[in-house]
Amino acid sequence: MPKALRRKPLGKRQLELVGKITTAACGAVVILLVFTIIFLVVSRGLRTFTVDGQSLWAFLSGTSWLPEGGGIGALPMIVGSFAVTLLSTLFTAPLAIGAGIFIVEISPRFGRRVLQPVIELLVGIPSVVYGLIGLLVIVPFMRDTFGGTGYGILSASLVLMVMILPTVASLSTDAISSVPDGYRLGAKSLGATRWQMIHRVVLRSALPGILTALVLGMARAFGEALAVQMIVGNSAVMPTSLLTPASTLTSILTMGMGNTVTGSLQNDVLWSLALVLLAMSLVFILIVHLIGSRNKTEAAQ
Amino acid sequence: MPMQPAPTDRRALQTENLNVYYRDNHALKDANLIFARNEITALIGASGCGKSTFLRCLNLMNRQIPHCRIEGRILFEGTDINTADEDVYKVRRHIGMVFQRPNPFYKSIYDNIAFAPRQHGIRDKAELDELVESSLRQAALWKEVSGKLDTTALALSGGQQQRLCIARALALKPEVLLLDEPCSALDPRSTRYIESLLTELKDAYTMVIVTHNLQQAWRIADRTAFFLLGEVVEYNATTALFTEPVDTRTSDYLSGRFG
Repeated sequence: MPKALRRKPLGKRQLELVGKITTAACGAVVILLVFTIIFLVVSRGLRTFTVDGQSLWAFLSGTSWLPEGGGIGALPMIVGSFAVTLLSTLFTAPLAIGAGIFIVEISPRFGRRVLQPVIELLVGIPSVVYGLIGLLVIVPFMRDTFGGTGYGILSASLVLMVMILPTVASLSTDAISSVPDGYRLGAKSLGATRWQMIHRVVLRSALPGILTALVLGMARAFGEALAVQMIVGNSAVMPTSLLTPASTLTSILTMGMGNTVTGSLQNDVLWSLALVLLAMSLVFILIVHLIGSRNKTEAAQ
Repeated sequence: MPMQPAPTDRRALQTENLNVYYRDNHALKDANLIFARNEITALIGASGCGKSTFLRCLNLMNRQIPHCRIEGRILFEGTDINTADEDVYKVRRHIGMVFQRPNPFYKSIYDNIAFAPRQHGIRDKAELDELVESSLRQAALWKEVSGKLDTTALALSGGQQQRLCIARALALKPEVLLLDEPCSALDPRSTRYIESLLTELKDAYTMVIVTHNLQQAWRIADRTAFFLLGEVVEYNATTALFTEPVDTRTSDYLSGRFG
């Protein structure tokens, strides 16, 4: 440390002040960033309706998406996004909750040492790799099994299932392991079998945590772009089957953003899609908070 | 060991040469105790003396602990339950347990009580209603909660929660109730309330209570056993054990010279 500094150490009060200002500044930057992003997306996304004079209803309920030709119906993508999100969460839920039960209740030694690290490995794999595996394995498999091109909502959901598994599994594991041991002892002392205990007491208590895990998984699935875009088929038509090419908000966004001119209707509509994505993530986060606060008031009553 | 056994015709629960080992640790040594029907027996002694270990043997709760070995006989209504093929779920139905920290489930008051009967196959709504009410009445909780059976049990106070746990155990209509320091997490008023409750329940149940509170043993227990370092040092009627302890280790403990 330089002598000048050592000779004049800051008083405790100044030190407190410096700490307070530094942390407050960091917080302010974060808040500023978030609001800048929201402002950017909202102001751009609304241009479709304010500047270009398109109707919000036509955007949300229209089914013809041809920005070059003027069709701005985003419903096919909205439906596609919800379909892959719900399906992938549905596929992941039993795996993740089952893994959580196994890790906490059935075999903690093997679970914590092998299963949990293996699941966490999935986090580190880049989306593009998932997309490639989907292209190489799942799409041909679907094509051979069900016919058609192999691209579509089902293929995308299967890839997403694996991608959101680690999030949902590790949060579910946390939720299950945070159930107090007293509950387990209590259930056993009442003559419950291990399965009755897990089913009626442990899972019931962990339910808010598990729901939070699922919603966060959904948020992740909803926002995933690259891997989905590689597998979903990118055909902006109303999906009529899980096995035909479809599209999601993210896949259309990543495909189209580089090919439009800023300020044009085509570009503005893409921003409107981004606005829908943003609004949905806010809804997901809101749900998580609602679950959390409801849980807290119940426990604190 | 100075012993005052209960009359043979009133034996609800009895252990013969009960030994417990955690790996190499000999946690309980040759415990021979007899618990008489409709009596409260207190187990006293310093922490780590084996009294909780002993209590958890009685409803086979130690079985789930890895590396725990239980040797000897545990006679419930005359038959040994410490056998490999004993149905632990059935045993626990007859021998209930209440823990140190109140542990109501994350469920409504009603569902907390109805949990165990449901697990054992009672589905009839009227029968469950009846069981819930009678159990809550027995645990002296009915008046306080009868209007809010559907609300979460976690909203109750600590003392109420512990009475709920007692009611939950009673819902299975057990013969024996094991209580592991049931008042140590409660304030003095709730403690007195539970004590008078236990005294009333004596008419219908056999109770074994582990306690660190010597006054509590004195107030409610008919018999008291003193544990030291995994051994039952002395077992006698409570008055006799407290006023005329035979073993000097007992008198030392009671007068606070150690432990």
